[in-house]
Amino acid sequence: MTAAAEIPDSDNVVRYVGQMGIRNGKVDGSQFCRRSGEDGLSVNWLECFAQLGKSEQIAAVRRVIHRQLGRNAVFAELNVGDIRQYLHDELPGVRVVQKPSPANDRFPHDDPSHSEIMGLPPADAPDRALIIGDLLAKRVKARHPAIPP
Amino acid sequence: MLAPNHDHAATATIAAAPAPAVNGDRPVAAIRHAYQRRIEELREYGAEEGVAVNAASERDFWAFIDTMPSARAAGVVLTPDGNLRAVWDDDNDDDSHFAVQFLGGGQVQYVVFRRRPAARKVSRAAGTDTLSGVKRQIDAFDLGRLVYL
Repeated sequence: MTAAAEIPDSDNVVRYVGQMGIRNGKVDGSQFCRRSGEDGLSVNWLECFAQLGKSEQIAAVRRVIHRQLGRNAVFAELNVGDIRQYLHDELPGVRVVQKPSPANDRFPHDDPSHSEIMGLPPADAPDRALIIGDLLAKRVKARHPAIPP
Repeated sequence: MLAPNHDHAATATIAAAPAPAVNGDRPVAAIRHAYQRRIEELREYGAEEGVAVNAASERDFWAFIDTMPSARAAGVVLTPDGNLRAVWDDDNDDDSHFAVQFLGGGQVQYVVFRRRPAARKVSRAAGTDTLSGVKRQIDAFDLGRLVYL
């Protein structure tokens, strides 16, 4: 599987957000901060499933994502070009790249849609990371239930 | 800390949000009850994601709230690190918010987004402060109408 392919600006990604990170229906910026040990912020690339419509793309992410989905959790959708444009003044080098996750003992299937937002402030720069997290939260264009109703 | 744009002469334009009232309680008591319910919810939601509420963070949250009897109800989330984060924002002003993450040990991380009247750009600042010190940021950034009843 090829790695680190840059995702085009026209495409969209989703970030898994547990209910603990949602207040009054809004995704909180703390859910968009890189944690220590992470190179980038994990997201899933919807157009990886190019032949599908939006709801089928979300369904495909539910099937392949390498994590347990929580009740009332959501996939917060962001547009790649919008992220780059909105953060340009603060982070001109931000980019979104595909980083497929191979099958493992816990999740015995590949996740070709796994991707990362690269160039975000590291966890040891928390002030800047929090500002960027709050900026990203303002760009969420849609929320999709992680578990279908 | 990123440099704040201090402009004490600016007129606050943040619209006042209605104070919540539960069963005829005074707003302060109703807000406190709502926080108690919310933190119990966050304990459940956090457990689903493998995140426990940091007891020191919760203690500091209550210490802060108890010294802010005239504060509006904030939205509260649980961060991936297990800290409580309170956010005061306004549905009518997407550019302004004040967020306080309780780190424990009397320390907080705050984020301010503030659009000044007639200003094109939004001032953004973040930093670490003490429980008492962060209240001074409310005045410094002229956020009183966003935070207080």
